[in-house]
Amino acid sequence: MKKLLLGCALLLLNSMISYGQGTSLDEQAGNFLRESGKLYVVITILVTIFAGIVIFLIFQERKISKLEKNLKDNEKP
Amino acid sequence: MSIKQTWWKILCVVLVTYTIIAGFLMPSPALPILHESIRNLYFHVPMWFGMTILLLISTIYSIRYLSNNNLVFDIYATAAARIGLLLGVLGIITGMQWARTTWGAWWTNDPKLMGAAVGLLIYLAYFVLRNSIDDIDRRAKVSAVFNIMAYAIFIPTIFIVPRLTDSLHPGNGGNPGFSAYDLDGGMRLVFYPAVLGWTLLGVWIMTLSARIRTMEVKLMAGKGIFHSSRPLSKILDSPVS
Repeated sequence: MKKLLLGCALLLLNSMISYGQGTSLDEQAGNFLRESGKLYVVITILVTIFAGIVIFLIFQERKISKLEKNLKDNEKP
Repeated sequence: MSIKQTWWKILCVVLVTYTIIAGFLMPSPALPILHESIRNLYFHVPMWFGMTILLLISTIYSIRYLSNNNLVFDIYATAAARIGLLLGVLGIITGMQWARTTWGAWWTNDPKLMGAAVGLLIYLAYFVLRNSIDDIDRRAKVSAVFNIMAYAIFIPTIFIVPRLTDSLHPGNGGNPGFSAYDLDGGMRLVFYPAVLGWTLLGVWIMTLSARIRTMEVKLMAGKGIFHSSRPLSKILDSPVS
């Protein structure tokens, strides 16, 4: 009888725990950040990619400015 | 480069960087089905906002071209349409990826999606039309007229028609837009800077594209490749504001 009760209690606890985890995932969605999820890595990578694109654009910009100046100097004489 | 010309490029970089960082770190409202994918709001939606704004810029340049026949305006109008189309293609691809996980299909024949596809096709047709005309003045004139009409069709197809019928897409056919959700989540704090940042990035790329094209036309005019009734060096020298 004791064992049965203990078993029932464990089962109930088990379902409560799993239920709790089911909802806590949703609650975690609203949390600040899941540190264990290594989200910082993704942010760092995205910022790096964007930085790469911006650096490329700046180099393009400088090259175009130089070409425009050359073209203008060529037109003058 | 003076600060006067570069301040908005710096603003663009700051805003997009802020979008990427805050877009992931800010709390998101707990929503069914969407879950964390609501953060796509900072990346997918600004593509369409950016496209609409760039196409508006393109239309304004086309009107200005028709009013004074300055070829530089034609070049800027085309560059804006090109980058607008690029943002639209990115928007439709990101939308499909988002739809796969939330609606369960890459593509549904939803009014909003069809409207977006038709809008993209209109602007593809713009480039086909442009490149089929050899005379540089006629090309500019015909494509400017088409461009103005295209914008007048694009806005109803993408924003008005989907709202009149049933649609899965948020903000259409009785569905609430995200404004219904983001009131509590503080998502506006990231969303509005995201729209401005991505749009400025598009404008930046547009100016680079237009400047390359201007030089290209100047060089080609020197070699007499284009057919034009007027001397190009005179037409192209006026500055673009």
